[in-house]
Amino acid sequence: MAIVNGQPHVPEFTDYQYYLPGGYQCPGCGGLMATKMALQVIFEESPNAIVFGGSCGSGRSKVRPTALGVRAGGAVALSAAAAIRGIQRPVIVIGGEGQTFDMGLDDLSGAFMSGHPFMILVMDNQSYASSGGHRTGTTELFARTKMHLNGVRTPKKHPAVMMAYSGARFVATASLFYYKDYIRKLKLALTHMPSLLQIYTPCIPSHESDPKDSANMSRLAVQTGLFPLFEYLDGTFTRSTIPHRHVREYLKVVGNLQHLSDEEVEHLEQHAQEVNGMVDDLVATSATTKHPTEAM
Amino acid sequence: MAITRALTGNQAAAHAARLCKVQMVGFFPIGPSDEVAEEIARFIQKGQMKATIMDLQNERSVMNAMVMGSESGVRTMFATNSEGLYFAAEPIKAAAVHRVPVIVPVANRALEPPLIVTPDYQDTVGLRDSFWLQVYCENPQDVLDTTIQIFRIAEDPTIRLPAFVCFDGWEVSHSSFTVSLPDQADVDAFVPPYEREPEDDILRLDYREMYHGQRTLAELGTDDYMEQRHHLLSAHARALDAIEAVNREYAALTGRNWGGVIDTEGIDDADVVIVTMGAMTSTARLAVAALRRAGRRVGLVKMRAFRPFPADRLRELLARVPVVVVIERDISGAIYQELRSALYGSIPCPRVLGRVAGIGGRDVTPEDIIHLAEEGFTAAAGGAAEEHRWHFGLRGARVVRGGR
Amino acid sequence: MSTEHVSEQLSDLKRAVGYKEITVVSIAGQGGALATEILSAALSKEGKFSSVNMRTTGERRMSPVINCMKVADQPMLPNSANYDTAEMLVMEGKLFGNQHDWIIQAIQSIRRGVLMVAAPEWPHEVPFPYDFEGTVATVDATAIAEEALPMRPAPSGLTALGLYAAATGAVGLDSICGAIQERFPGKLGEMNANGARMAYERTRVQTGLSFQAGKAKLRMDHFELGKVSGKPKFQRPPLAGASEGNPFLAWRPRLPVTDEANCTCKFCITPTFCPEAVIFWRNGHYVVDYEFCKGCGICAEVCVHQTIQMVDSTQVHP
Repeated sequence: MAIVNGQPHVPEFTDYQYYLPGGYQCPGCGGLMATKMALQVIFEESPNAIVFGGSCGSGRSKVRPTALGVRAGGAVALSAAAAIRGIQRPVIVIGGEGQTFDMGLDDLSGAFMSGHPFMILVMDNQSYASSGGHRTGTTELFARTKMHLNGVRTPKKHPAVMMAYSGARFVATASLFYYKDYIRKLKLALTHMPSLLQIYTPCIPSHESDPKDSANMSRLAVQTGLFPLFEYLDGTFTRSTIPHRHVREYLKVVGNLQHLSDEEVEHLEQHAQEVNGMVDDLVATSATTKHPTEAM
Repeated sequence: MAITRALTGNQAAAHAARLCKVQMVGFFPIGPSDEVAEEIARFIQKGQMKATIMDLQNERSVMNAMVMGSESGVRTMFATNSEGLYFAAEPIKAAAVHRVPVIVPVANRALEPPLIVTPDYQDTVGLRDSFWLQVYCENPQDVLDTTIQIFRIAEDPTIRLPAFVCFDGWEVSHSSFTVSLPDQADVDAFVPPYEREPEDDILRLDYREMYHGQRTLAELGTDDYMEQRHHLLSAHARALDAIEAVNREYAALTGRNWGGVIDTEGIDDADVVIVTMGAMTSTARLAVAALRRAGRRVGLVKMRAFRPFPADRLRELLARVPVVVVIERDISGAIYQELRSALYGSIPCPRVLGRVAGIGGRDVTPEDIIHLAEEGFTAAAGGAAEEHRWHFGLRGARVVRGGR
Repeated sequence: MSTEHVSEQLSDLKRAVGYKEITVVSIAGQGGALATEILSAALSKEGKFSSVNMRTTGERRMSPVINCMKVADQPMLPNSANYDTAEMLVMEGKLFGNQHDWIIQAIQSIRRGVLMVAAPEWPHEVPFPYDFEGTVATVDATAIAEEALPMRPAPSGLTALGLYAAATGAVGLDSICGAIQERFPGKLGEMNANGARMAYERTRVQTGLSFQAGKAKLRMDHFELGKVSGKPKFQRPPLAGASEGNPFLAWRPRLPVTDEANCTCKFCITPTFCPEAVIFWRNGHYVVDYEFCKGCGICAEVCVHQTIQMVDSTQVHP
């Protein structure tokens, strides 16, 4: 028992009221973990928020858009309708990265162009998890999938950076293991709309990993630099963590990255360093130049 | 005091939106329908209308925004056509099941390839299984009146279905016509405000409460999917009655009667009845008048509602007619098929000849209609006539300027 | 011609072609569908024809799946579900308490014949909730699969085919192993064939058993979380727990147990990392809601002092 100053210590954040267990998610689902934390933060900060959408792990809400890949557009429709009816409720939509950054990239772009405030929380499990674990734009280089049995040949894209230059006011990447950072970014996203928060949520079946390694994957992806954590707010990029491990640490806990040759491992390590170089460059340049996000 | 103006079909649709106080207008560039939103933008700028324009990245996004907007209790409208409709196919198929009264004026345009800027109805006829209501208009006055009526019908709490209001691209959408605009006060009385029950209003749900208890056996699927879909049929049956009733009420208000689900002329003693839809009907009216003057007993049926398909009404009206000639502007030959299906087994039963005409904007002249009616008369007299064929008419008829 | 006369003709026809219904009920991820496919391949080696109507209740792992297989000497087989199952393979014993209509209908479709259950119990202990007479066989296929296969969770579908061969004798073990290795040449096929052999050897069969509807003790006392958590909200009736037949909680080989004497952190991070939010730090005690824990093992993994260990679930929550 933990005693602090003579009293039993009740830690923060142990009561997840908004997400009851026993659902269809696989054991160890990263998306589920991320959603339970997000809902707690969102409903505590804004009890009257409208939260809809969902992805494989985050459940299916009663309110759903009509097609795949139109989550963000649906959110701006709600935001616009709320403005028309004089109802003040922040609109938050949850989506998977496959339908948001691949299938729905056009919709995402249009949503940020529209000018209506909303927040999109993207559960990035690096696959079309619900449909069999197929690759998406954020699937790691060399990962083996059913349609890329020799490993994916192209490196992942960086939609967070893309959306920072496409009309978002706040954009950030997050990871389950760094949950305090995630919570802080959730709060920023809620107060600086339109915003996008992309969180890496490991998917056990898609990554072919052991369920117990979900937390390890979310830690090592960041610490090896394969999933850099940063944020962008009103023109300024800031780094959240600094990578300090070789990528092979991450590969150990990811089932569909076990087959890499030594050459591929080194290539991936170099790639991780390049990606982090890109983040460092963004941080450096934004310190001096103001990105024109404010409307003139 | 009703105002009379020269309006194109697109402008008429825009005025209907203005008079019905549409609150959320979707937009994506595509000819010929996007002019509707352009006209609305001008109304907004002049302070004659208050609406939010939703211009998202493509028709799929916009159509989804319309459905979600409608679920949020705002009146929505989005004019599009052809490729735009097919891009929006996913939200379109969901909209009827979501039971939202989204109104989509369609200035029908032939489907690519090749790049084509002339009308036919394949774009909306191709979506006939979407469970949307589909009505077809003859001219800009019809567009105005029918659109106003459709808001009332679609938003009826016992119906709640999305609707396509169709009219020929360019030939009606861009063509001026003398249109009488009803008073705002009359329209306000005719089309009540759009409201949703609290449990169906996604802007008023308590999401915090929803997430408290509700998750996720939803993944196990539902065993009453079939029953849920069946509800759409009852909604369609009620829509048929509503289309009739609302037309009568509007006719009493304005003096203009577009016929309910079907408009007819001279079918009581006809040997041959021509069935048309859309602007071709105006051409057919002239042809029918000429034939009558020449002593031919010919009648006309205008399909105003294509969905729901007014099978019973057509059977009632046409069972005793010796020959029916269907002339339609879609490559599916859908009216021919569905009419024959409706008439199957009725005693007596007419001979039905099917003619596909005007595809890709191929011109359909009064002479064409007369020619096809004569084929009907040949059949009525016991002569030979093809059951179904495409009537190609005169190619390039609209291109000739001077020369031979 | 009466309807009864036609149904008689249908029954005669089925008998004449050796028609038999086999139903495999499993949880997606266990490999029930794959097992059905391999069984089909094995039967075709022995000259039989088969067709399967697969009914799935969800897209992902953990959703119950029902494979309705029909076997005959001729390829004239209907595409409907099974309503008169002769041989049923239930891949997880906890599925008997399940609430989903399709699962209930599937399990009720066997009234006599051979009932095979992948569970640690002895055949006569199987909590079959409806009337049944015939042969019952069990083997702990999940445990054997974990011996035979390295991946976690270990899919027990192909292993359970050993149970099928042993209990029914309707297909040879060699045909099964052959079909497995044709489908998965190399190490994977070998490991699975090995699992099937081990299951075949360890299967326990009891003939002449009968169960009666309502006699099976399926329901345990509902774990009243409200008492322990002090949160009345959790007593709301949202979702069924493990002992209430929630299929998503039926397949969990291990559950976490904590050694409190070793638990010395000022702040426990396991509640944050539990995807199901079933861990509570309440009044100085570490509490796990076993009604809803899926046994993923993240808590044991992140616990700084290895105070939490994953143990066999039967020791923790029957």
